[in-house]
Amino acid sequence: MIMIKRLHKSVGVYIDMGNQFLKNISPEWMWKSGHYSGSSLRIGIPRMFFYYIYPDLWETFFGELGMEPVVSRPSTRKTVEKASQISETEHCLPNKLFDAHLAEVVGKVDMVFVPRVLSTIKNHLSCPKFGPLPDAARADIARGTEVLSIDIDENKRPLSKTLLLLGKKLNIQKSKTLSAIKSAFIAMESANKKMVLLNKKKGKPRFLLVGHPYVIHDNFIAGPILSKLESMGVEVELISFADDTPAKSYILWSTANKIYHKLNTLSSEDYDGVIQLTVFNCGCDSMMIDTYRQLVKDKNVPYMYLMVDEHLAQSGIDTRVEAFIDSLRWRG
Amino acid sequence: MNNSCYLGIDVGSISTNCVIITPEGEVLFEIYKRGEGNPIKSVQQCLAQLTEKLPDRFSIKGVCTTGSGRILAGAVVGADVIKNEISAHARAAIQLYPAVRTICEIGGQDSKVTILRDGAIVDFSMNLVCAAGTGSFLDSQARRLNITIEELSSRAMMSENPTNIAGRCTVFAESDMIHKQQLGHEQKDITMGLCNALVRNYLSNVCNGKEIKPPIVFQGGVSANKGICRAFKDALQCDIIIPPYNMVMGAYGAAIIASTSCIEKTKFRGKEVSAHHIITKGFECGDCPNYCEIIEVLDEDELIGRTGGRCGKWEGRTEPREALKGTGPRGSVMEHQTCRQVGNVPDLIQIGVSKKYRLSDK
Repeated sequence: MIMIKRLHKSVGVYIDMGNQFLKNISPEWMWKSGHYSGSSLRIGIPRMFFYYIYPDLWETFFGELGMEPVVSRPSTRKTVEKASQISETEHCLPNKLFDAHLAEVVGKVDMVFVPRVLSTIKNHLSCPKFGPLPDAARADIARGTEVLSIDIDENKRPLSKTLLLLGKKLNIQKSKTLSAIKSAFIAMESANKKMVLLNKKKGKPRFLLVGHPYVIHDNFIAGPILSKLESMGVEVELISFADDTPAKSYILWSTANKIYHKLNTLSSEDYDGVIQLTVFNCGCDSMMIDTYRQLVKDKNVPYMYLMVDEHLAQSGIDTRVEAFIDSLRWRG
Repeated sequence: MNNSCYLGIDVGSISTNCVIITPEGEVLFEIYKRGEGNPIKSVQQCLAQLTEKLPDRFSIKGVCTTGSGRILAGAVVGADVIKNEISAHARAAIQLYPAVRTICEIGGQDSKVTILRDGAIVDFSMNLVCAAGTGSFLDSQARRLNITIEELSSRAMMSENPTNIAGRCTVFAESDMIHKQQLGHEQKDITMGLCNALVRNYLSNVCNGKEIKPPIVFQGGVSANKGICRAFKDALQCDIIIPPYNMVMGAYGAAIIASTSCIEKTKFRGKEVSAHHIITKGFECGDCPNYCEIIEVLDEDELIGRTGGRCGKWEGRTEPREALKGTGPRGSVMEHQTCRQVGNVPDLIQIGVSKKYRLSDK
């Protein structure tokens, strides 16, 4: 994979061969490091996509390596306003938000981290939108800032190997990287456990919320729906993507496969309803929604999908959620 | 004789409707009022009309508001129940037709389909971000043709050979319609073509994947349009029922919900509210990075309610602002923070790497 990269303003064009090591790159970088005074290297992590796919992994990993990870703030109305100014109109909402999150950390950090997520489960694929993210960042929003990138491709090598390579890329001792990987994996595991349940109290009804991890955990997209459900006293379980063994199915998309598997093994005793959260122009979801609907219908569990776009009013969400819960009460 | 009655108010995007029923569910009278974009004023005018029409011996024992402006209206009149419009419309349809299996409802900005089986909602769907399959589509096309919406309805009924018009988007429909006008199509055929386009759009967008089974009840403001009813019959190949209070079904349903929710003492602020000077005041919450716009509803100087906010901590509360402010956002959005967020980080002064992690040549 060859791409052209411009390093700082004066250095000119440099060809990055995918996993090229940073130590080879820039004399300017070296020169700058000599003038350095004070604390450790700051690395910026946009709070989108891979941040939610690997929760707590990156902060812990970079933190253990002695860097200072800096994460953008949860998405808000302001993030969306920013996104609409700087991002491509044809992108899906999470991708727009990603751009805004990236813009938020750029200028506050020495280096931003944007991995190329190609596959998160072996023999499965991620959304093709993840592929060009590092290049797009270099070309546009993070222009002039170092973009640290690595290919995350489970078909080629497992995540631990990828992280090891990342450590090597940053010129860090192997033993230190290994211990960082260990604690990062522990942190991810515990974060994954925390991410599943919203309301701890045992009550009825109990809902399952499904969707891409970066959709159901985003403050702007899912926040109003989650707080609405919470204020109505509903117990909500968010679908977990932690379990790493994919079930055999014909679906190649990693998130869609997990949702499919979850809905396929759903029991009407466990859940009183399923809410699917999707964003307006998600191609993967538009392919899968009818399949999901049919799966859940066969199990005789009520199903509703909520489509969120950047200008969806809160009242529209409230109406749908209230009516959905009303309809469950009428069923008895 | 029982002199109690129940009030249902439906504040929609285009119209504000009121219905008063007796405890037995009989409609005493109905008001349909096209609003001028000021929901508070519309509600007050409805209440004023109500004062004129309602004999003094009747007393209102319960109020329920519905529609997209339900929270604001609820604060203004003092509602006992605030209900979403899908449930309200379904309640009304079931009251009149217990066997109903599909409710099609097209309003000014919203269109919905509700699927019922054995008197319970099993599925529903609402139009998404676009208002193409709703009444506002017809409104704008009628304006374009320079006729009123009532004329559009009556002309469409005269059509024998409806023109085919692209209805996916109002913009496309408009250019297609102009093209058809230039070709010399008759206006009655074009109007019927518009009705067909709206119904086609509604069926493919809103009713996508739903089992539309008779008996079908068609209600909402657009159901008054004969052309649309005809287009529905043609498209679905079956008879559709237009209920007697088709324009005000939401308010009727709300009134029924009020009458059946066992209200002991109503919070209704009285018909005099119509003469009060009610204003709204906005402020930015600022308790979290969302910076929600909160609207306070004030009757003279008395705070009677609040709307807005994504977390719901302000909704309907009348405590002083200071008591609620600074308590942080309500609800728990996923937060697991192990490092600094960008907000706490000072701007970067010098780019660099510490010696420890210097990217050396070795």
